Amino acid sequence: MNLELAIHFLFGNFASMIEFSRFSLANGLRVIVHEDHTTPMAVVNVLYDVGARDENPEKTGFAHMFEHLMFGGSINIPVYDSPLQMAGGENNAYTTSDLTDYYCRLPAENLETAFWLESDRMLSLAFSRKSLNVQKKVVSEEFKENFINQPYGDAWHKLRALAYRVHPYQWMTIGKDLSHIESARLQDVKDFFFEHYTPANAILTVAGNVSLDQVKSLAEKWFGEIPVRKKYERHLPEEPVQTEARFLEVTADVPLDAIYKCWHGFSRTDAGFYSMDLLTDILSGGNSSRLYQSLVKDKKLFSSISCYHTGSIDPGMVVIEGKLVRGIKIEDGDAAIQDELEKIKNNPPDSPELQKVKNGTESSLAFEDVSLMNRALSLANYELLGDANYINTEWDLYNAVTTDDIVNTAKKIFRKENSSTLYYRRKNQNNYL
Amino acid sequence: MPDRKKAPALKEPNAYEVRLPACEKIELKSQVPLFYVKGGAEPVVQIEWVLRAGNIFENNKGVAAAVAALFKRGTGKKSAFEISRQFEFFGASFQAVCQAEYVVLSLETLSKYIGELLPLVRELLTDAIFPDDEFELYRQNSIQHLQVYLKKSDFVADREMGTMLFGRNNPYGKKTAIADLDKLSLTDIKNFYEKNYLDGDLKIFASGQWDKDFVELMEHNFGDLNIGNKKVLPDVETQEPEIRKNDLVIDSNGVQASIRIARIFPDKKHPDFQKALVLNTIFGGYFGSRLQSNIREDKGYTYGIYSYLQFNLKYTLWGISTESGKEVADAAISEIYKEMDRLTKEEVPQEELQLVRNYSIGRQLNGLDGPFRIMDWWRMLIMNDLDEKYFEERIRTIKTITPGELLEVAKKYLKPEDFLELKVV
Repeated sequence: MNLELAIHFLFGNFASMIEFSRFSLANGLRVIVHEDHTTPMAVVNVLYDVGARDENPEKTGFAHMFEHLMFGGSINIPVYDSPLQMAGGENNAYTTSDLTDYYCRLPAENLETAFWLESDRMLSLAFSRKSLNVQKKVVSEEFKENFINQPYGDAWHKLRALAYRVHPYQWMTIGKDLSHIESARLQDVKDFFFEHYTPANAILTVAGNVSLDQVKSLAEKWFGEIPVRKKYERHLPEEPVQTEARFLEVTADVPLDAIYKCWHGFSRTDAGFYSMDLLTDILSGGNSSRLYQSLVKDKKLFSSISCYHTGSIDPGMVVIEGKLVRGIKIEDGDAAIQDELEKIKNNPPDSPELQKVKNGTESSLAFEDVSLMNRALSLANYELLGDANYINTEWDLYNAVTTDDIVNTAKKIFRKENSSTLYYRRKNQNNYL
Repeated sequence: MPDRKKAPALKEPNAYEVRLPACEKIELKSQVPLFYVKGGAEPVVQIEWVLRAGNIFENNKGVAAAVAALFKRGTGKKSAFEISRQFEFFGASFQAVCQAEYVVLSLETLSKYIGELLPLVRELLTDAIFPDDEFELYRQNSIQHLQVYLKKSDFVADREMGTMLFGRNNPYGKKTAIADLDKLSLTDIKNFYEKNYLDGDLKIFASGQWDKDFVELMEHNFGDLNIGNKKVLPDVETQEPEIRKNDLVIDSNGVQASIRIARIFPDKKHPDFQKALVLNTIFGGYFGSRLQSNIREDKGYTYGIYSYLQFNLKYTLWGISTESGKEVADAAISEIYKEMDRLTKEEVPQEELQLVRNYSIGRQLNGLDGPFRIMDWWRMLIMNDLDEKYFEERIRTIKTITPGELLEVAKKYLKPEDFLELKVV
């Protein structure tokens, strides 16, 4: 048995290692290759290091709308989608506060089609006026569908604006306001493209039934000639430490009172991230969690409650949101939440409670790696955080978290002066339906 | 310098041999069939217990869903908390989804904990006691969840379209109201569990990785259940629609309309079904479809528009669904009918059909990526009394259907007068 096999054997209890290789092109494009010869498919993922946090405060929602425009034709190819579909592929994209990601999958024999399409839109878009005009409307409908035409749809806009005074996380990826999207001009599109869509600002991940040599030669052929362009330097304002509790109350036509509370937490790359992640699971991961057992089951104050964090690259938020049982005062629900947070600061979780959330994490990490697409997305995301190999090592950081870490994290985060609270009250208090 | 104007050479995806990998079957001593597909690089497993215990078998609305939620909230030996904690301690998830015809209980876990978790699933399937306090909690909270959903135009539109098509008393068309949840009875719930779980019609589907004692473990935990009772789907009648076109307003300040246009369609064993699937892809079944290209990508009326064939056992439907700006909703509806009409008058051009063939074969290939996806296919086939020939027919139809055949199917089924129309703001 050679050493490598021995190591695999020792760690055999946990998910298999995800093998990958990395190289860079002269223009700064980073490339990750993950070979998996059990599938006939290939995944090509291009992650751009630009998100809603890089937007001008007067032009919010732009990074996301730009993502739509990336499908409106590039300099040499009039449409993106149909050549990919002709090759048996399909694609999509998403934008967050931190990044924009484009992914496609297709039969591995047709890998080159994806290189052709992705490299051409990194080279230059067609900057079609028609595409801009149509996508403004499409994104406006997306805004309405998810944030206006939904009960509680504006809660997150309000909560972010309450918690962040300076940092661009104060607005949602979709944008602050419909008018920002409607006022976008073609010149804005061009400026944004040449500032952010550069090879050095991108990570190309290729996974599936491919070989390193093949990817090297295709990457050089299709992406190698894209000019370096100037690398974007990010200078975002740091959110000042919050020193007093913030509070906002709204009334709207919703069926139930709701509460949203948030606290500034750790960044994705902070050592405290792992205990913060496990802390939110202890509070609300499943029906055996503390918030469900105490506030839904025993005290019957909430019909649903959850705790999670935003997982963002700059320091994000830990959030608790819940809907109150009809007839319960929001203030009483709020006080009960605070009691639970005091409890975790004063009574550390016992060892089975901590082990439970670690096991849950181990399991979700393994399930995430089942699909080829997820492996490619994870590798790209980890590379953006600093090292694609976190996909293999991050579990050790979770596993090392102690009960003291959980208590200390709770003490650091769940402080009154670090909190923002939104009471979302329903109108028509006497109407049963 | 590559020639960027020219697409790289393709292997036509249509040239791929696409085969459904095999699924093993054994019968446990209880005569419960166990189907399994072993494979994958990750040490994880998914096991599904599928019972014929969907809404169609209930006498009062909301009972089947309540049983699916409550049978894991207390047994003769364990409280709801202890049950949740045991699944969660091992990092597993155990979900029950209640559909029209059956309920799917799905366990996802690291393979190394199967032995700890199977006895618990057995306990839930044989010894659920439905405690009073859990029942009251469920009733209170499901009423409140429903109150929130009734404010969502998409949810209301989906329910109303079911009722318009199938009738309010038909299992596919009935909708649970707040009043039905108020009236839920624990006696009904216990009876339903006895009849459809304890004395149920069960099949088990497992996929992923496991040790060689897996079948023994399954036999040990489920081999003595007295549960091989074959349940026949009750006959359900559809009625002539009372309303063919409806406009509902649930929020006078709403900024979008949820549009649903649908017709009843023959079930998936009908000879036209597979052909209609290809036609549906062209019509509104993928991002390059006619509906999406016209109504989203050309006119910007919506964030997304889709057409789909539902996969019910008895009756299925062919529908179109979109949320569009309130002020452009009527324009969107008229474009939907225009696209329908165009498919009934003009043959689909060869190039578009070739693209749809290639795209669809690529999707089918990807749909076989790993044991979970392969089992999704098999579960669908087995629950519908179909076999791999049906899969082969799917591939054959995608590869060989002609523009003439598509036109014929369109003429037969895409007649605007056969579709019901609903708009909810």
